[in-house]
Amino acid sequence: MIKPIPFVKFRFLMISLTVLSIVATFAFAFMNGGFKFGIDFQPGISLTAQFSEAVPLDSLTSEKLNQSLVGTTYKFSVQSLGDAGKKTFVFRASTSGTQENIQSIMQEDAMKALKAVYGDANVTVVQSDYIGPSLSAELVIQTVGVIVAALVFIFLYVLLRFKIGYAVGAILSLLHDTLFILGFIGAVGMEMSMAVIAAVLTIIGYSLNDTIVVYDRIRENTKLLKGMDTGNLIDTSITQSLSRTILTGGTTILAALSLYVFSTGQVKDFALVMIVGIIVGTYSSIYIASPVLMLFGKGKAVAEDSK
Amino acid sequence: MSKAMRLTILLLLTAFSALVLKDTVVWNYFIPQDQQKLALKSREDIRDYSQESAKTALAALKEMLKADPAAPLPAQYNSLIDTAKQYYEWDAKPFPSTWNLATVLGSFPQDKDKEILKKLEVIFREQVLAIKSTQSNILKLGLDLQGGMSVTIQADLRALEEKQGRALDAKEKEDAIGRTLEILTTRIDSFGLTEPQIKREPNGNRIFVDIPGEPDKNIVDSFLRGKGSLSFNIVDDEATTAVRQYMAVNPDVVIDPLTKVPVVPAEILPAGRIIRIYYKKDAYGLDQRVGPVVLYTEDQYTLDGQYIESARPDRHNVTNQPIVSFKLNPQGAERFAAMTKENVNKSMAVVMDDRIRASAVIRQAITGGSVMIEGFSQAEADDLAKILRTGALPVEMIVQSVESIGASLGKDALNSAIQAAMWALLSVILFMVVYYKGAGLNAIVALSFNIFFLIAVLAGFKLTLTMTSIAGLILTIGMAVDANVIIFERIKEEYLTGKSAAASIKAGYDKAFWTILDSNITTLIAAVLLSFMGKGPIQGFGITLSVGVITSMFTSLFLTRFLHDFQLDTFKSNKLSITWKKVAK
Repeated sequence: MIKPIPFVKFRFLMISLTVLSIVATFAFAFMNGGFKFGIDFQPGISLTAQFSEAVPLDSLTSEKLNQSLVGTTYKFSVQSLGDAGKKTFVFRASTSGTQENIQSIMQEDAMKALKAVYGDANVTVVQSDYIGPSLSAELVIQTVGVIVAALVFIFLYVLLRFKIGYAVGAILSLLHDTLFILGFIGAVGMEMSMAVIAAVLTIIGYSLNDTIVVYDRIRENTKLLKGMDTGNLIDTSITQSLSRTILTGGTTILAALSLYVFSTGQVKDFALVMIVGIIVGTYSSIYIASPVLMLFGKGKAVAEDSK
Repeated sequence: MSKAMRLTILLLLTAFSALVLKDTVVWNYFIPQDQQKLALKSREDIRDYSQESAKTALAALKEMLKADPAAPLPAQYNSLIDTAKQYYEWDAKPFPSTWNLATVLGSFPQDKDKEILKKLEVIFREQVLAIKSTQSNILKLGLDLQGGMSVTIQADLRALEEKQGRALDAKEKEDAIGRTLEILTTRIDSFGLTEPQIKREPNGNRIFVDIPGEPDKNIVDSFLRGKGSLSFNIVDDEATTAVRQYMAVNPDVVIDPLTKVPVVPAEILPAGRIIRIYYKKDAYGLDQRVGPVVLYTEDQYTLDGQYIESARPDRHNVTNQPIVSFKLNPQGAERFAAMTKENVNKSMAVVMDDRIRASAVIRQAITGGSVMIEGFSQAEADDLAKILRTGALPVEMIVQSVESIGASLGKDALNSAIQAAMWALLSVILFMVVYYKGAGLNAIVALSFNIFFLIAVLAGFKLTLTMTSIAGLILTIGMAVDANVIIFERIKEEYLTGKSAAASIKAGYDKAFWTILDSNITTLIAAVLLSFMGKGPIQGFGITLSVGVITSMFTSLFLTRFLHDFQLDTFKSNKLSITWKKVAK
């Protein structure tokens, strides 16, 4: 048999490092002005404009644009889309107004201002999105609800198929993954959009795959390797299934990576969150999900098979 | 399960998927572009095309008839022969010995050209509509991949509830939203856009309007103007006749582009009158213009639809003809009585959203508030009852979101999506084949089937292919082989302990089964929840991922095992091609 790698031995060190890094990312995020929310969660309008030639960002200051907006209650902010030619920029303004035709009024205002500053022929709006306040509020509620529901359903399913110790371990590792990803999103200043939320939820579902592979092996080994102490048993199981946990994550990363390379905007964010999430998920199946089982000792919660 | 059984299941599923995807393939590869374009046009355009083509065809047929009366009828007009047969039977004449131009065209009665034109129009219309129905079954690209504008509108029922002073019951809600949908459809149709899609959120208050191409940004404001209105107006018969005469004399009269109403001089249209167009539904399901009608607008000649309490289609108790009966509230009944008393023997029009939907002659003063209108087909009566029932419901339409994407941006997105999918597929294939050799090849076959099934399911459910659903597809490519990795690693493990190939495969699949099921179910939980969430794009992703998880479980557990078993039996080999490690045997 292959010699087990001593994972469990370093569990306290690793868990401390994990907690520290999560705290660090959140701290970093808040130092940089907190989380950024995309148009899905902040009612308003977002225009993607393409300029006929590269525009240096400093000349695109939002002040210049807002100066030419007279008598409006909203202000536009500008952000580069990060395309290769530096020709595409996103202009965004939020509003909680419910007046009729607000979306076309804002759009016209922005177009007028843009054309006043940069000239008629130099700029085209290639994409425009408007989200009204009622939909936006609904989406926030839905997002929270769906994430909670996902965690509860997954907890119940794991509880059904394994013992309580496993279920607790699974949920803790999912919480870890979610927190880590959120910290990552905040730290890199990524905008919270529906696509990013979708990635977080997908990770919640997917990162458990690795955990289940390890858990299955631990459960199997409790019967095969009676008398081995829990730490050793977990090390052996993780080592035996290590190739699996890494390879399954690996193939999915291959797919997410191609998506990341070829897409732009929200889908690119989505792919990046997926990639980070898969790595974190694989890590947590080893250093969060499994050590939690040790808390439950070698007692009933772990050893007995519920199948 | 026996191998024959498994093969049968596989073949059935493949055949079924191929059937579902048939229309998509036919549309994309076998229908010429000009016909595609035609089928995508609005029904109004199709009507114009059919009528024009019928005229051209008739002229051509006449030429041919002149040149050679005994020439055979071109095959595409064969349905004319059926009509000709009918005429022969009606006239109790024996069928001619051969069906040629002279015998077919000669059979049509007096008003020959008109009849033949009608029949020819049907032929052309059916052709286009057949292509259109093929198109309705294909896997379509979402607006984010082809460019366009997508609008989410909420039908706000609060104003209506306030007016009623109570919460609406389920049926009233259905009616109100149904009518909002109808008003939107009529208004959007009048813009003559290419293939607009208007869908209602299942059981919800939201309506999604998708307009491909690059529509005018202000179009949303135009189709959301006002709430839609319903009123009864007395018809000014004299002025109506005058307007129609004027139009007959001046065929080039200017038509207002928005209201489609002819602009006539003031001496023909007296003050206090308006022109509205009378529409009836035609064979295209379209509002067919019957003609302009002049209406009084003064208060004593009109009644707002808000006084209607109920309306239903019915049968006349003597003639048994379809009728519509409706009831007005006391206030409305009083006004209606006064209005009808003053205008006996004049016509009254039902005007919805500036279009006349029905008209009837007032025979006597109607008191008491119970009204009966006759002179319809059953379908028309049903339709009118619905209009009357819902007409006064003031539904506010709130724009929840407007997203528009330029066509070039959409094309770029599509190209990058295809590229991403190709690279994902290529890298996963390369990895599987290099790492697992022969077994990896089986996984690739399974993966290909998986993608095929997944696309068929998406097409079957008429989902559109958006950037997010392609993202779901790409992730599925990466996740689909996970199950195979788990199984193969297990088989390898068993095989390296010295078990036979067959025993290793059996052990590998059996032991990995529950692991795979458990891990896929957790992914499925998240994916299904996502498919309930928010707006279209995320739902598309959730649905694609959910379907992908299910199809990939099927292909990785069922299909690869079948391939392994089949190869073992066929080659009678006890060797597995699954690892680079040396196996001591």
